[in-house]
Amino acid sequence: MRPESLRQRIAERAGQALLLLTLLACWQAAAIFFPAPHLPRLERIALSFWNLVHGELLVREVLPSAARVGAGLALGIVLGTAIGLAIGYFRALDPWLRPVLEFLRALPAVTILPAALLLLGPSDAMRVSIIVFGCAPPVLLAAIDGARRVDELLLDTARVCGLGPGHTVARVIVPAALPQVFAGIRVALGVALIMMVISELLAANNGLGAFIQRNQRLFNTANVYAGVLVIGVLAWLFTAGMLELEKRVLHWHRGWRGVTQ
Amino acid sequence: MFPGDDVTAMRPILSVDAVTKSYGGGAMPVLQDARFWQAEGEFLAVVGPSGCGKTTLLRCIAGLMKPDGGRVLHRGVEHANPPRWLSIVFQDYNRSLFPWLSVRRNAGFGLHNLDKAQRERRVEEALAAVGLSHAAELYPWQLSGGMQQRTALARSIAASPELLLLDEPFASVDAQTRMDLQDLVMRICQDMKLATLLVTHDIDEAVLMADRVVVLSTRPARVVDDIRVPLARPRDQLATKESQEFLQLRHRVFTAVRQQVKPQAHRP
Repeated sequence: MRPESLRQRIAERAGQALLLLTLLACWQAAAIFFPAPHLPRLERIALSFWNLVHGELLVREVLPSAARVGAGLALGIVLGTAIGLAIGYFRALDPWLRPVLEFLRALPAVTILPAALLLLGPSDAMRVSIIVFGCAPPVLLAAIDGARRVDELLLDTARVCGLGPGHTVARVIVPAALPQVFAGIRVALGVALIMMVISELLAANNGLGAFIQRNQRLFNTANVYAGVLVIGVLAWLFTAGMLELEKRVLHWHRGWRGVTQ
Repeated sequence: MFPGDDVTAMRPILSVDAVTKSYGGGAMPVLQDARFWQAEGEFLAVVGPSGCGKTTLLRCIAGLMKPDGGRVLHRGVEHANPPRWLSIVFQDYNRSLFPWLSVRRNAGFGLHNLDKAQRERRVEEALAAVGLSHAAELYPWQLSGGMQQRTALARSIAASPELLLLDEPFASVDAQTRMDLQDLVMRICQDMKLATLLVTHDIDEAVLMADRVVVLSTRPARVVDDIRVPLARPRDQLATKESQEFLQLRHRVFTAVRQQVKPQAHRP
């Protein structure tokens, strides 16, 4: 942590606030002097935002999106971690699977959406599935890497301590690979949000993507921007939650890395 | 009484019987017909020129590696895989401690078969023995090298092994810490009457600590000398090292090791 005086911190915060206010003022000025349907005034966006984050709209549009991201992300992380650790642990599998994994890594996950729509229909199962499809690969590849980079000496130590394969995975491989897994999860989080929005833009009758789409067609631009803002807030909440989780699970890692590197 | 006085009276806790090992499908022989034995409660040091295969020998004894030929016997019985009656302290303490576990949990790592109360008691005792009771909640990266190695030592003795293997355990710490650790290990092994096998390249260390020193040749390693060290215990870093007996023994071991190194130096 870099040492900061209170004054520096206040100056930093003031600068941030100033920039934000300037941007908002520019928007407002543009909205006042060049009135156009795609440039709603701030107070209209604020009202739309407020309507969206409480009451009926929150339940109908925001929560389903959040639930899809949450479910898809959770499933993707569990699947990616489990399969990745297994592949990393049984090194013999890796050369066989490598081409498929590299293909999955390279493939933009959104391209699978039309096929998923045909296969599963415009259902929540489809939407969660493609989020899983998008966020499992980065976690999986990170987990392979993490499991493979476990220090041989730790594995020897585990053997000398009489740990069987199950215990070795749970007590050595998983904790040793977690820093890499979390790096993969950070990538997966971004992918999950993209997949959520796109799947809702394309095929949903509720959720933030659908809300934005619908209001765009109705030229209700204040709602469109409010939807964008809420997605931003949602992304920020997920990221903050994940960082908090990471800080708790990997509390040892920061200090350890600081000493060994 | 010193082991080796009467071999037949002792049941060796460990016998290394004609162990052979090579890497690269026989292209690089490392151990050739290595044979020695170790008595109950004996402190044995294995020295040899660097790169002679000491660590390979130790890994074969530990069951981390399978010898190509020969046998490693524990009280006359062969074993595979690392058996529960031995534990190891590795040279690289910062790689053999689990960075996500506190000192206490690292020390108790091998005790998953015990119930909680037993485990806690063993860990407390082991930490007290190595003088780390006050640091039990710290993490390895918060410790100095010497403290990390004491944590590894605590983990090894907490498992109450019959044989303690030490693989150059003091090679990566500074000189002062090394002496402290040597004293600590000698005290613990004497108190627990623990059979200890120390692999080292440091001749002074071998003579200071051990009841017997086994000298290995250059690669492929075999046992070329087996020297008893009948110095009185407890041994002292100053008094023992300055004694005439120590110097003579040191000279003898040194000569045995040097004889192994010399021919190699003249190779074209």
